Amino acid sequence: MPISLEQIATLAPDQKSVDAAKAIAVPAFWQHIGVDPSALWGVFGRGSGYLVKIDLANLGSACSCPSRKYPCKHSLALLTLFSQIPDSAQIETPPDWVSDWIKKRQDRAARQADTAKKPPKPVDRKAQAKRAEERFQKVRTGVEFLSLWLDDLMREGLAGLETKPFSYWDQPARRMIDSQAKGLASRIWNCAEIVGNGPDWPDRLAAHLGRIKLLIHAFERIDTLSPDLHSEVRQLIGWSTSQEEIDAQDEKVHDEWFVIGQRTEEEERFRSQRSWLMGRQTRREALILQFASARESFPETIVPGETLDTTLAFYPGSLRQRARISSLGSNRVEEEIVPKGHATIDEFLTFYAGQLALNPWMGSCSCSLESITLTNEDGQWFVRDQNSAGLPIRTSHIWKLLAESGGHPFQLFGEWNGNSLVPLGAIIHGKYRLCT
Amino acid sequence: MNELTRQALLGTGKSGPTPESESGPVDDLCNSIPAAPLSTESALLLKLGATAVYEAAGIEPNTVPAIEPDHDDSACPWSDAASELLEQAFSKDFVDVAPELCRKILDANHVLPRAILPVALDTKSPELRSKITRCLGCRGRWLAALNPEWNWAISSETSVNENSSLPELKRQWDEGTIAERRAVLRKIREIDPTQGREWLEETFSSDKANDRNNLLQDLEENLNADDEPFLIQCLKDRSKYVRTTAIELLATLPESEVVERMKIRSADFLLKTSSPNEDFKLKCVPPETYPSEWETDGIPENPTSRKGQKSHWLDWIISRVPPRTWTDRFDCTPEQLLNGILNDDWGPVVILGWTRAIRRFGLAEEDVVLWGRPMWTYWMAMLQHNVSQVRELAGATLSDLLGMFPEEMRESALMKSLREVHEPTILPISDLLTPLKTPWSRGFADAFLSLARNLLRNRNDQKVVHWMACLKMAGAGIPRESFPEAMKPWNTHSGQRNFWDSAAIDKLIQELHERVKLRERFYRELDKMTAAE
Repeated sequence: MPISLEQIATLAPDQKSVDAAKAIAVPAFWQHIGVDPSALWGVFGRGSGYLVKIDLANLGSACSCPSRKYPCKHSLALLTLFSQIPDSAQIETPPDWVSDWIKKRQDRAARQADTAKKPPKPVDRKAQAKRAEERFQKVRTGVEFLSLWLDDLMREGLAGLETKPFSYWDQPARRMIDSQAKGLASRIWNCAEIVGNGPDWPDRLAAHLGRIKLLIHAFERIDTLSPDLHSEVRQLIGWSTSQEEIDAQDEKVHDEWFVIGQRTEEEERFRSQRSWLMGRQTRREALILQFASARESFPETIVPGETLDTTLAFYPGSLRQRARISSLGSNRVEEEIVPKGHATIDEFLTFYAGQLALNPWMGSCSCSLESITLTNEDGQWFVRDQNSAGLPIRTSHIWKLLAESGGHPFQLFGEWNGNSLVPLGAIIHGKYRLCT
Repeated sequence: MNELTRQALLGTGKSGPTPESESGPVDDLCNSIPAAPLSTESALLLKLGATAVYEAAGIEPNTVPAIEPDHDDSACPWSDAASELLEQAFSKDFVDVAPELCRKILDANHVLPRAILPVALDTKSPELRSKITRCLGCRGRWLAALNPEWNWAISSETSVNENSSLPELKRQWDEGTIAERRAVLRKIREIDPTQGREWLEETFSSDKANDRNNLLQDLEENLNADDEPFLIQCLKDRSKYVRTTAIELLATLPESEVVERMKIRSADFLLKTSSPNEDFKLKCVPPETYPSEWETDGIPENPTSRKGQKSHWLDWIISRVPPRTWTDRFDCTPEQLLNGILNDDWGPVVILGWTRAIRRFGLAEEDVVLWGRPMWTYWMAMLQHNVSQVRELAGATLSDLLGMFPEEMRESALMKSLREVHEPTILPISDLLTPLKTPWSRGFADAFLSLARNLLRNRNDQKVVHWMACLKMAGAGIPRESFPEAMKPWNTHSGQRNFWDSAAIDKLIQELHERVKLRERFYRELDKMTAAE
């Protein structure tokens, strides 16, 4: 599948890099551009110029320029130029500086794969168990405090919370951080965003607090839960899942994974990326979470609308939704492979209810609807299936989607949060379209 | 709001213990939660949580009506790259390039790519809107009909189309919105001006003042002597704005009574003082008082801007007398007229009045050179006036005059002035490039680029930096054949300038290059698409 400018933009560390890359994505700026099935390379500028190389297997890149950004504007420009004017690159044998680099990358990927296969170092089980117990007690203390705090809140009532300062929520949330229960902390911070936001905020806040209480209730009985739900609750409370636990899970799924959409959010000092993938054969969904500091790119290059022929290792839990790319150097599949989505909205909602049954705290799940149209009723936009069933949709790209689809059915990918669908991508006339 | 939320809002301290739920699956679920060791608050929270999950799992979709789809469901023929380039062209930074690209699309018998339709329809510039409406295509019109903010793109089409019959137009005139009625009026004035005026007369008194004014403005289409009685009637309208519009329309009818009265009044102001053997000379005698009958013709007694009363009256009346009146009256050429009044104390006011009259009445083909050339020479000289307001007025007037020249004359007139003037930077070049048709001719573009390069190479003063602001316009104006010339490296003599001037010039050259690159890429995409067909 040819890569579009929108997709290239998702690789960039910031918008400035995209703009700078567009400005130099002109053949006149490049001394030479070459391509072979494994790599794309070019020499930018005059004289010896900057040597830019791109690994076409996973869009990894390197450049001899001094920029600290990754990928730099030259790498992005080379990709942009190649996507717009493929004839600008000559098909030839790569020079040494490219083939050496590609070989090193392949060797490194192989080494890492070997390392992953090697048995882990022996660990001091006793010390590990002691540390785990200490942590568990710490979390338990925090959870007990939160339970009491919630009881106090309910005794006083939710009315009047609009007048409370942010510190009212921040204080217990920070206490949860101290107790190493960051999952609970972020749920408490979310309360501050709900209060006063829209006329139905009391309903939403009550439901949100109720779900926090359900989580606390589950944690208090964690030993009685099934292993999957046990893992799920631990992750929701704030335990991170170690590589060892993922390996112990041993749920590795090889498939041609279509990246149905992606959402990147800027935090204060880092960026988080949620990529939703769907397996072609397995029709299984996967969520890959990645984090990077503000200036760096994410460890894995995942481009929406592409298909990765790779193995995913799933995290333990009742949903088995979150995953990580297990085999490094996963290959992009040239052929356009789009897995089928849910045929109707009813079918999707049944699937969603099933997911909720497995994990009642699930924030959002991916949604792929096979053949929907867009429609408007009383100023609210909906996706509509052939049975006239509609789900509310929330996006700033509604007019673009409408312009491209012309009111005709198309396949839509998005995230359903229980209230509204946030589109992430669409297939219109066989072409993938980004909606973020 | 359900009972549980109500209780949560009040607080258990005030509302008491959680009531036992009655029946139903969620109630059974809530009741199954062990309540014994739990506090009232915890029990309430657990019930709220269970209810929230139950409701989320059982959410039912709405039943919604469908939107009538666009009848065309074929794939968009444009490449993604072309769509992205056009989207860039419609962005704030490159919007000056967009009209040219729209024209290219029209010339190639294509319509705008679908992906950029929302961006295109969001445009605010009237000039660009008129171009966009012509290359929207079916999909664009279909989309515009779904968003009231985009009605501008279809209002004229929905109310009036080429095949509308007279009864259909009449129906739309009687039943349509004000925007639709205006479109109908413009259309009917094209076909049958008398019919249009009669329709307007029928309803005029019952329309709101603002609508009356707008509709009257639309009478400008095919305005003729037959409209005069109605316009005279409008001079008694209760709205000041309607009266002003009526006066302005009457003043554009060379044979109207108002213009005739203006001619008679103006005859007293200008007197020929030279004998037959002397050089032609005029004297201006402005009116001393404001006669009360002037009020009926809408001549304001007091000026709105900072000028004297006499000068205001002179300007107002002379600017409403067709220019040819003067050459006929004194049996002389426009050049003689200008030279004849040049040294009079009131000369500048009279010439300004003539200039405004030219703008109002336009120039007949045979008058373009006769009037245009001396006026152009006069206002070029005014560019060196020591009063900045006069220089600004001269710049604006020259731009207007250039716009009145036939398109094929504009480039040559401007280039001639650029070459002849000893100091090219005194020309308000950005204003003067505006009336030129884009893309420019290759000859003009190359000459312009050569002049700009010379200025940059030989001068390092700030006037050059200001002058170079026109490079952005050049980026939108130069033709494709001149792109290589524009993209050649520019010798900016940056070492001899201060840092800020160098940076400013580099930025302007970059803006030129960005526009040229964008257009070049787009043309290439268009070529590819045309070749594929």
